Amino acid sequence: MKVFHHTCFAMGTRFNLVIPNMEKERGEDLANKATRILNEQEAIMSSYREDSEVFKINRYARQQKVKLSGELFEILKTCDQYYKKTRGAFDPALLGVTSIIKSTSNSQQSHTDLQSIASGWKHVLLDTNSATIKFTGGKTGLDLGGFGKGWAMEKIITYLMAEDIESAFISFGESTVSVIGEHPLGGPWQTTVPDIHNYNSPLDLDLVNESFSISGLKIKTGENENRKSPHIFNSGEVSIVKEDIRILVKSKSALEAEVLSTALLAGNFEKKNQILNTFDEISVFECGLKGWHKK
Amino acid sequence: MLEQNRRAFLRNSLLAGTAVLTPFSLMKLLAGEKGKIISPNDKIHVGIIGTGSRGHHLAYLIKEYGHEIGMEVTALCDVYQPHLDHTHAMIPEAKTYKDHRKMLEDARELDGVIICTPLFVHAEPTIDALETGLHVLCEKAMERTLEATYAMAEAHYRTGKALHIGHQRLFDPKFLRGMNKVYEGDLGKVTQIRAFWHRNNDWRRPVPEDQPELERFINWRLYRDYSCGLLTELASHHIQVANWVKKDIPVDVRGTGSISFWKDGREVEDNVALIFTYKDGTQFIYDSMIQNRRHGLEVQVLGHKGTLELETNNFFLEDPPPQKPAGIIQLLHDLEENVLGKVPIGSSSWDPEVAMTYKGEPIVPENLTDGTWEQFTGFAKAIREDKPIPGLFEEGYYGSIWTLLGQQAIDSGKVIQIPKKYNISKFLM
Repeated sequence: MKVFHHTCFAMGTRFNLVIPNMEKERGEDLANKATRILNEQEAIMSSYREDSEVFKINRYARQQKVKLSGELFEILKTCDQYYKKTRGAFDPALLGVTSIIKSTSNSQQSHTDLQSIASGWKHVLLDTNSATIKFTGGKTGLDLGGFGKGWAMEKIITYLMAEDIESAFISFGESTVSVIGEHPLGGPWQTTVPDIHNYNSPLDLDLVNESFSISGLKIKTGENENRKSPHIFNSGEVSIVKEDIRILVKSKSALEAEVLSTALLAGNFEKKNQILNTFDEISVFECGLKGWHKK
Repeated sequence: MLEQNRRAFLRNSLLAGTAVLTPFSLMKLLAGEKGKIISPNDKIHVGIIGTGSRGHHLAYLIKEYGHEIGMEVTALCDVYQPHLDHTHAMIPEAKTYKDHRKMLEDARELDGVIICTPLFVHAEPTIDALETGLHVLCEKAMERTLEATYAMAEAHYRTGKALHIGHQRLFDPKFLRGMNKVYEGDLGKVTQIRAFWHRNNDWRRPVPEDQPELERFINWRLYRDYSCGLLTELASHHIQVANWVKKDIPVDVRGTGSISFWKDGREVEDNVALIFTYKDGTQFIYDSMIQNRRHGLEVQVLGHKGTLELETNNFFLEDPPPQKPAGIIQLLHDLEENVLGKVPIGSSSWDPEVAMTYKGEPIVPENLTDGTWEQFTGFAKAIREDKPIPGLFEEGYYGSIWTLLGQQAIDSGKVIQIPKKYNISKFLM
């Protein structure tokens, strides 16, 4: 069959869109629009781009209230809901901690040091009446890394479905994957996710109008090959996740999969159970030393 | 009216240098459109004037591969007997001459002539051959002086015979495809071209110990009366390429040079640097030296979207496309083959490190030639069709003229522009 494929850099990672039975000309129109959507989202949520809205908030919100755009206001209200529903396991305001960890030796940063950092969503004042934001903690800063790809993926899916696309496979950095509809030959899209410790025992997942997202330790490639870099932080008690595990969340919602995979990795045992009880329509898998198992 | 338009187009094209010489037309030529063969047994007979190292090499190529284009060497000419004997031993069936005029008297046995004499004796045999009705392939650069170069151009236009100059990159597939990338906008706006040619040797040829008087005769490249050294022997190639990229000729050139290392009595620089400026502000920066070979040779075409490194067959995008992950590649393959397969995918995180490790992409799949042989294909076509390939001569002419102007810039320390009388657009009006 004819297959349209588009790939580009977006939101700090690579985006792949595969649409079966699609002519090149229309596929390119769809891909161009999808790319514009991603660029718009990056222009709002990037904490690295100096022209992004989040970057400006991180610069000024410690000193004063900052007015939010309509879209970022919606994003932060959604973040707030997930923060509450996960009891802080999902925390989108830990940029200060991230910066400190990255500027020092990961392994040298003590637990006590991290506890003293005034960072995280509890130091964020989100005024829903005036649509403004202010930080009350000196090291607080927005970091939507565990949220943005899911939010953008939802936008892309909504757009493609509005364009009557009935079947598509979408990957965001291979860590957030969504499908629209069934496989063009019928039945679910079949995926297989490697086991980080034993590559002979992958996790097979069937997807129909579903998404999955994986969180875990970053394994760098290239010149830092095989160096594992802890980068996800337990909120509340603020510490670095160092366990060599991966969490995969499968959901009808790409955003929920993205948020909860991070939250489940970061949360402590009690919080993990609360999350699993709260979000009862998700499937959660953990890959540790004994391979993949369902939670 | 149509004729007027055609002339205006050609006039503008000539000023632009290469608009009528399309890489596509040369690629088609190399792909098989080599001109009409009048009869199956029709052979192209060529004579080689100048059988030194370059002439011997070209004679060897035709001897080995000439059957592919129906070309053979039937006459050899050189004033230096050892060179003539050396090449004649390789092609014993060829007639030999010590005077090119004698060879041209037998012109009815020839279809074309290849000139490989020293630079300063290019014009005379070239003009004589053209006036005899023969097509000519002359090594680059065209001549030692502007006047002699112009005289060759005048003879070419007056006789209507092909005069190809040995800027073989015009026939090199990677340069042809590279030019297509430039013209199709793959590089974006090109604002700088950089080229260099570095060697590490004294550039001397051995002189017989018992004939020291042959020093200037054999090492003519090192003496100003006969050569502009690194410029006419090497830089001319890249100056032609820069004009080709820009479809234009420079506005001016400035430069400097010195004999900084090989202080052995030579008169030409062993260390030169030139900057050519085009009217759109593009700078072509060139340097050459022969006391360090670390960087070899390269010509880099720099646009806001991409870079060509033509000599080494590389193209780099400023924003390289992401590499397709293996899972996506397999998915695409399965779908195209109507296979319902599992997509191997899923990692915890991904670093955008492609840019760090991006090594570019080849311009052509295999870099197997420098165009030296392919230029014979073009020469054979011109001979068979009895007409020049449009735009080709102008490439060689302006490449040669601006090489000599570069030497003027070094000698004078001034910014040099082309004198109006060396503009050849009037020949196409």
